[in-house]
Amino acid sequence: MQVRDAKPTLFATTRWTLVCDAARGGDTGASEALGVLFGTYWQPLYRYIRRLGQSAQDAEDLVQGFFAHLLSQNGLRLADRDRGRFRAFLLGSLKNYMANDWQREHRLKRGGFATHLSIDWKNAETGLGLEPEDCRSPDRLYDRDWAMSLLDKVLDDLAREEKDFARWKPFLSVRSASLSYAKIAEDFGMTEGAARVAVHRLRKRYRQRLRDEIGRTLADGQLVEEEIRSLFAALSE
Amino acid sequence: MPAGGQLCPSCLMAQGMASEAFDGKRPVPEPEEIADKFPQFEILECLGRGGMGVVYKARQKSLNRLVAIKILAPEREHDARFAERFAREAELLAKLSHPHIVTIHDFGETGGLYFLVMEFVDGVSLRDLLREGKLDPEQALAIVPEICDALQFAHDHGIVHRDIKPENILLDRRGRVKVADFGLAKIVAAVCDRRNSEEESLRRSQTAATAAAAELTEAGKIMGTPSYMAPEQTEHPGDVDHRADIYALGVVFYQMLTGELPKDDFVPPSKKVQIDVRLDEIVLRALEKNPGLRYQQASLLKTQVETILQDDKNGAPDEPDRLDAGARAAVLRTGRNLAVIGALLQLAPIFGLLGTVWGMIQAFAALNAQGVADANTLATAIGHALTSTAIGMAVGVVGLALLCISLMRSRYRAKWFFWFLVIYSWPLLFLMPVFGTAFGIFFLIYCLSRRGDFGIETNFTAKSEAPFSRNELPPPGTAYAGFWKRFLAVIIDYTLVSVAVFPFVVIMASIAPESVVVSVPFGLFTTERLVESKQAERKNADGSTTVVDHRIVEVTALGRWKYLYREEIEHSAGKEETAKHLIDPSSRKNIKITTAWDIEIWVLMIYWILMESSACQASVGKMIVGIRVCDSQGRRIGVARAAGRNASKLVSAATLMIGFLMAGWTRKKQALHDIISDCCVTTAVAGDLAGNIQGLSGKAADPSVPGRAGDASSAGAQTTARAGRMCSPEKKAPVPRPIQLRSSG
Repeated sequence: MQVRDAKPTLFATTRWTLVCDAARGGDTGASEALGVLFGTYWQPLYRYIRRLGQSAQDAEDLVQGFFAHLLSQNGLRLADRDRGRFRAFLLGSLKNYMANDWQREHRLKRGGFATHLSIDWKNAETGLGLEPEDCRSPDRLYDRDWAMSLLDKVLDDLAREEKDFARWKPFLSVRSASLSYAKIAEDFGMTEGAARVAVHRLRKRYRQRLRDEIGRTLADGQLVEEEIRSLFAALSE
Repeated sequence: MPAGGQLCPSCLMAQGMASEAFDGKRPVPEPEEIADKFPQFEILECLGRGGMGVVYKARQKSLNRLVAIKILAPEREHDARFAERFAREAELLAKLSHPHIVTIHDFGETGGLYFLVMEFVDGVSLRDLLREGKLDPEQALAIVPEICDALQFAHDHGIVHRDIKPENILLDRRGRVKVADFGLAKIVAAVCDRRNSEEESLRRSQTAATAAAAELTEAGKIMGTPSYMAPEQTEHPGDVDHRADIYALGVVFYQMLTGELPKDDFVPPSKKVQIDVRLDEIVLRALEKNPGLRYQQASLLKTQVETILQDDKNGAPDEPDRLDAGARAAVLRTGRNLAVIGALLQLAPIFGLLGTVWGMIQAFAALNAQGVADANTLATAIGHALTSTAIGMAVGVVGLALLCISLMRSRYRAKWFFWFLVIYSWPLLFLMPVFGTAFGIFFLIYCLSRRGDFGIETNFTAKSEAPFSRNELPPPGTAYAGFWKRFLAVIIDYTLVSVAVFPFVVIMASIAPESVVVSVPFGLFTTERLVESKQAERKNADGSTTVVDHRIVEVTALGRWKYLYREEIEHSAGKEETAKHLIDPSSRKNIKITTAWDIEIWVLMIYWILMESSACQASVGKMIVGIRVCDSQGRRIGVARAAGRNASKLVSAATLMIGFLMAGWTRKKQALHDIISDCCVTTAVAGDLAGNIQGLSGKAADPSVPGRAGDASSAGAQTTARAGRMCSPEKKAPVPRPIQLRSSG
């Protein structure tokens, strides 16, 4: 995914609801931030559309059009019943858009949507055909894709900021007890104690980033735990 | 797909969940981080974050035993005063050695962290148990006394817990209760006292208390959930004593029983779950807002709980499997015998009722044709009736009591049948006093109205209009009753009927609210509320405008039944017309529901017919004012005639407006009324009528008068003939003077 990462603006860690409100109000910085948000999470949408049976071309069209629609004045209507979750809001808006507006716009523009995002569509395609026959609904798979995109983003951010992240990465998902700190110490040339501390600190930062990122997609920071649980459930189905 | 194939996405996500203590500001130290601060312990794992700090499971290397190390609020690191206070308090706490209190083994400070080494409890906390919902009452009742023991022990040593909550109540694998974190609240709060100036003024100490309170409530993390704090802990933190622990225990108790926290207006636990109602008292008393009203000692609470436990053990019915077969059979047998006796005794009210009715029949039978009766006979009859009522009721109540006792104590299996008996006996027991009272009142009124000078309402034939010849004297003691008497009689009758009908209307409305409109007699307990109102102007045909008030009012009867009416009040020149119609609340359309009036009018009619044709010869109202209804010979009239009379009231009411009452004004109108009423009489009594006329006039019925076919027509023709005669103005009938009847007895 080659989305240009915008300079960290004021909106980098703000709740998405505030970003949307600001973008609606015409704030270009907010629009950019919204673009970044969207840039992180467009993939689940794309794959959802493809699973519904649309062709790749149509799916691209839809995604671009949807984003343009989001930015426009009409697009950013918040539904309370989503309880402030960007994930649900995005899917709901997409469905709405597909049902109502896209047909109209598509007819008018005949596939010539202005490109707001430079997206590597191929990346989204990979694996789509390889997935085994899945009886889960596209909605559930959307949640799963969403979780994946989220993790991707977090890991990418970490990769950028931590040095040597690639080597430390494997220890993130393994339980503390099953790690052999002695071996780690040997591999990295440090004492066992230092190894423990390093792993622990890395985990801490990862956790923090994960929760921050999730918090960004929620209107209410308190619901992070709940969101993690549902994402975990989506991943482990 | 995430980069780096060996990463498992769900594990990655799970990592995010791992720490429940992650508040973003002060992360929980991992075991690895603090291991080097405790060389004599092997830190095994983090057990969780408590109210005061973080708890780790560790192994004490020297003694090779498991302990729990609690690291307190690291914010206090560099507070010298805190250190001193901490040491003092910890020493006190270490003295608390009790099987139900988590023992403090050691305390200290290392590397800036204050810690406590405590007994490790291998088990769960009450919070974990409550996560699944509520506990069984037996479990709760087993836990509470042990907590009371712990509390009482600590209170006796002058230590108040201040933070009793499910997280602090642990249960080990053997089910023993261990209360943890005694007195820590005080340690943390104490720091705030010291932070302020050394001045001992009341104001300062109150500020300190408020500051402590502010810290208490503001942080939430330090002091734990405020839901368990007693009211005085938040209002006057300086005045908190051991009774705050009892309040907290009450909250926990409530939560164990019902699964919920008691809110401001909480429901007693026995209403939410199936438990002994005596537990309500205990819980409520522990939850008293005023500390003075609570249990003053935890041991008292414990004694009460244990009493209930003991009773439950003794009361075999709840746990029949505790008894052996023989004892159980004996219990059941007693229960069954009691139930049978109780059921048989339930029949007594029926006999009582029969006795009452028998008494009434006797009383009626004692009435002679004139409707008076011998006082002694009356008294005997009343005596019969009332005695039967009383005895029947008494026996019935005893039987009912026996039945209920046996059902509750022995759980006799066929109890559904006996519950049926209980249910059926209630209305009976209710009816009996009603019957008895009604009977008594009736006879009282009757005796009052047993006056000699009663007036006859109607002679039932036009005969009364004719001049009385010598051999045509009206029966002795008869005079034509005037308007006001009749009016009063109608009022009385209507009042009686509406009051009598009212309970049935209420019952019907309770069962099926849409079946009848409840209106309380005399408009009592009825309120009216204006819902909507608007004015409109209507142009009339003659050019004038009428202002019409459209109002929708809601009438509430007895505070329970609400009906919506649409009122249209017309204000036109000089007059005001009102139309009121019942409407449906949702569609606002006019609807028709049976009203009490509809029922009353029928009851009134039937009542009049029955009473006027009975030996009383009058309804209650008429009896009171001294009117009797009889035929021209002063005899009783039959049911059919009475029916005809009353039906004719309806007819004449329609035609003459209040014609049947106005009949009292003039005899001419009465004649017309009689004519109409005669027409309504069925053919069956035609013979009776004809006989009367024959007797009166002394001549045979004239068959040659043209008229309608059938016997009744001859009567009708006869009366018509007389009526014709009557209209001639030449002779005015002398009004016979009323003759006093000899009053008997």
